[in-house]
Amino acid sequence: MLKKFFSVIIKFYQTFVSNALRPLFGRACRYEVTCSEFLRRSVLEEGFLKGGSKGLKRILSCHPFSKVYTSEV
Amino acid sequence: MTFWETFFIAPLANGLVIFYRLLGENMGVAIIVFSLILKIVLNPLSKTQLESAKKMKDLAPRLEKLKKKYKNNPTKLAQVQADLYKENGVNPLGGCLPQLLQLAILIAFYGVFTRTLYPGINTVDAFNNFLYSPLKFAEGAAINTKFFNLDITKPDVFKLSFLPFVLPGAFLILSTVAQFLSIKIMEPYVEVETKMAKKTKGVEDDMQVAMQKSMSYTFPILTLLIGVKFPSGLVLYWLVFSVFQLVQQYKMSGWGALTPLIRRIGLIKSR
Repeated sequence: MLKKFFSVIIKFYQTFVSNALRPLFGRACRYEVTCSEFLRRSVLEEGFLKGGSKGLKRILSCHPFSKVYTSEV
Repeated sequence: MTFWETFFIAPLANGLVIFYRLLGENMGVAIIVFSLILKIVLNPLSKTQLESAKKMKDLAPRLEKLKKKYKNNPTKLAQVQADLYKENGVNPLGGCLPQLLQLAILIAFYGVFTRTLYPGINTVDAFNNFLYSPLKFAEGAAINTKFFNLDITKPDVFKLSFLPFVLPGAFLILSTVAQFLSIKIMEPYVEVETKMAKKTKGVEDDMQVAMQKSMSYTFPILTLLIGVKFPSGLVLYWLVFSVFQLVQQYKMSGWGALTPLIRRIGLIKSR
């Protein structure tokens, strides 16, 4: 139930916030599935603790000095 | 002052005043030049960023194949993927941090306007609040906020006596158009046939795609609605921002979804 709610919030972010920012700054994702989608799926699959930390880890790895490219869910 | 004001608003306010002083004390000119320079300085960051993202998108089909090949060997896949990017010159110096920095500066600039060049605010006092001591304005000094027909601190609108609402001025209209074009140009131009073929996408994506499409209208309309209420300095800044984005995108990947429009204009000209 809580997970479903979380998923809806992320969907809302993707549709209304992310879509609004993209035309202004361009898409700049290094990963194939966007971080928000990755977080959404991993929370649905593995729960808030494990899935959440995976999502957090991934967004933190998206910086100029990172050498990570992998993007599987 | 808050952290935000000290580290984002104040530096921008000082930068703006430096250009105001250098460029013959005209706030309109200062806004245009300063935002242009700010864009140019930040450009290397976002340029490598956008180029890398584009290359990654082009490489996606090849990556898809690799993913299938090394399905059971994630470490090997990561290795191969890194090699693929390296071979094709995808710059690893990217990520979402530069984008966040740009967003922060955009918001901060907006903050400068609402704190200083705003109707009903004493502009000199407001600026002095943020300026470092050598740049401070003297007590009772006046800031020249005239730019063409505009007063930078007031909205770019005019009123016709028989209409119950205000009409947008030239700069506001220009800014709205530039905003529309700068978003439209980012959409890839797809011929009609390929459009049909693409209809196999899942229902889930539809909402997002539709949303993305409608952005090219939502944003200009928002620009117009906000511009009617806000000081025209903000509109000038927005104009520079949009035009810069437009030029940058054109240089990188051509006219995009504007191709039919450009063709039509070209046809009219050649006749």
